[in-house]
Amino acid sequence: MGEASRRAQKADDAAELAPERALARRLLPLCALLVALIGTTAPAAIYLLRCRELEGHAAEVADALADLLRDEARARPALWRYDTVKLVEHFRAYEGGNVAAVVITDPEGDVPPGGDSRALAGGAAGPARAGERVGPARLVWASAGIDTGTSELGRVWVGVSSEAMRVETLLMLAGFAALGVVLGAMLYLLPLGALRREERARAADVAARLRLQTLSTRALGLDEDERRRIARDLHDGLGQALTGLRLQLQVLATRGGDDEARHLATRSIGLADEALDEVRLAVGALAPPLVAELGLAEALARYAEGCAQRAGLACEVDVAGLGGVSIPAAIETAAYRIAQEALTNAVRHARATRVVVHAERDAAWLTLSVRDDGIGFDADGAGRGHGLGGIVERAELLGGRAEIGRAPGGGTLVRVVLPLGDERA
Amino acid sequence: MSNRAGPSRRHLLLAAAGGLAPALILAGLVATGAPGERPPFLGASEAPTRETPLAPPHGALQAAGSGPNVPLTRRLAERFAAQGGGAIVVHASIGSRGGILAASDGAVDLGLISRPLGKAELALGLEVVPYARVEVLLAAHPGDADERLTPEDVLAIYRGTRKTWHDGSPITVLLREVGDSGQEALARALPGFGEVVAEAHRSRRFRVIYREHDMKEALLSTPGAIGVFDKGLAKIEQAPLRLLPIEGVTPTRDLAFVRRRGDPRADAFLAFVRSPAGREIIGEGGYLPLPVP
Repeated sequence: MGEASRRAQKADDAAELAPERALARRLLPLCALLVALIGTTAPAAIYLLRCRELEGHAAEVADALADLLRDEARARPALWRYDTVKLVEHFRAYEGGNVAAVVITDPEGDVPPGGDSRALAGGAAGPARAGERVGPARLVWASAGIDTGTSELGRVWVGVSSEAMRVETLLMLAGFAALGVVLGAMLYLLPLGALRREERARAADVAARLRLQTLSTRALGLDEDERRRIARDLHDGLGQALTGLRLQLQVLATRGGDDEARHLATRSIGLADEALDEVRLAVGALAPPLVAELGLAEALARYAEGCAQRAGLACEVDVAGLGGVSIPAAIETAAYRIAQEALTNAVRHARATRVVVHAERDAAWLTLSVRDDGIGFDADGAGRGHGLGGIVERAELLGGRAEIGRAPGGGTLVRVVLPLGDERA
Repeated sequence: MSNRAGPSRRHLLLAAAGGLAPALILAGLVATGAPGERPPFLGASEAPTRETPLAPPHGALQAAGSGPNVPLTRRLAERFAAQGGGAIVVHASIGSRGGILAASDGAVDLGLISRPLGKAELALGLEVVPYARVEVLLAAHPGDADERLTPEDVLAIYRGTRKTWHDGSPITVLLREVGDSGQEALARALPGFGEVVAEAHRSRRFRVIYREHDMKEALLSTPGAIGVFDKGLAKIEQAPLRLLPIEGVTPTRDLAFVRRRGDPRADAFLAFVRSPAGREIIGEGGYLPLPVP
């Protein structure tokens, strides 16, 4: 259980890593592997090949010397071993290779006096020590038996200098390691650089979009204020005037002098009523009067309950989460209009029997959801109509987002999140 | 890569170290590895201290060693045998070093040398019997060499800066191997010759000859050739070489016998060598008999 928790925590941590950091963590082992492969593969292969080549050369020289010494031993069985130094030096002078030492051992493996060619050249007398360098070189040894056919008189050991090969291999190793580091750095830095540039561009794009949304929200807010002022003027000015006019026409219609005058007054009352209806419609279109008068929470509750009552639906409204704090006018109106549209869809198209309206807010966002238990709609958007499309457009215009889809258990869920202006995180 | 978003510097260093670690391991293997066979003598703390058993007594007296010593010893041995002193087998050259080691091992009764014993060779406890001195000089192909040389000529020829004889024919220098007693005798007598020869060996400028017989053959068969040779050897072998004295320089080397044990036959031979008859033979060969100590 503990292990599962740790794995889950690790997965969460990984998911939260910035893309650049996640990419860097994935690239690092790859880069290390690349450096290791490039830095070692070719030098190791070349080193092994050169070792084999030196061993082969030493073995060839040892074989040739063993043949020479075998012939000498056959010709001078008692004295051949006392002349080996000169013989070997003579051979080395014309061999032309990089033979650094020739040592002849007796059948017991010991070096008899005169068996070490290095003594002739002023080298160390006596047996060589482990790791001994002859001149500046380390040696690769090979041996061949001095076999007369009846007995082995000893072995000739040939040491070939490996110093040049070692230096070449080390230089090659350094070069390939540097190449590996350069390629590893390129593999590491190039994708990260590209990703960083992409992230910067995306961040700049997001910032620009946010600025645009902020400006758009402010413009909508100003527009909404102006619409509410006009609606208020229409209601308080023209509406009150028409109401007064109608009252006076009623008096005239009941107390007028002749029948024609009363008839005209009655007809005028009808015209005044039509004008008042027009004014109410205009005021309603300009700004929801309920929102302006009661605030978003109460307006949503009243509208939803009224709508459900008229349609014969069960209705549940939960708007307590909106609190009493003021909400920008544009957000209030947008949320109210969206709820209207969602409820209208539920009543007209969804064949729903129950709707649930839920609204809440925090410091930065207002969340509204309208859920019904109707027949729903196609997930690909067919049948959404202009109403649901308008919900999305209205939310995005304010910098929010809208999700319209199937509700858990069936029906339709409209969920909208709207930003609350400058308080956004 | 900023520290804000990417891995820390420590991670980068760890990745670099991880990537380079195999290369460092390989570098260590390359620097310290020991490919090839491992000889049994490597790692031995000191030379084996085997007591070399003496070879069984030989039917005839056996002698072997330095090439310049062989012809004169053979002539002495022939006269010794002719006087009823017994047969002596004088083997072909195995060098002064070989003669010393063979005498020390008892493989021969007499070792022939043409140079002083080295420090390690003195420790072998051999008896040294000097008996003749011989002049070392330069010999040339009989065809077209100069009559004599100055020390400067010799140094220029071995340095490679003088490349022709007086008649314009090319000079071919034949070197002896490092440590040759004749070449060393000339180096002792002619200042600068040792360094010039050493440089010639290092640069592999000239052909190197390893035996007196080969030197004689090479000098006779190579037009324009010059090399260190032995006046007594040239005379005793009747080699038609042109001997070139060096003005003001007369290098010599001493010929000697070495032996490990007392042998009556060897004692008799050495007595003959030191006798007037033996000294006469030595003088006839172009050598100078050394006084009996």
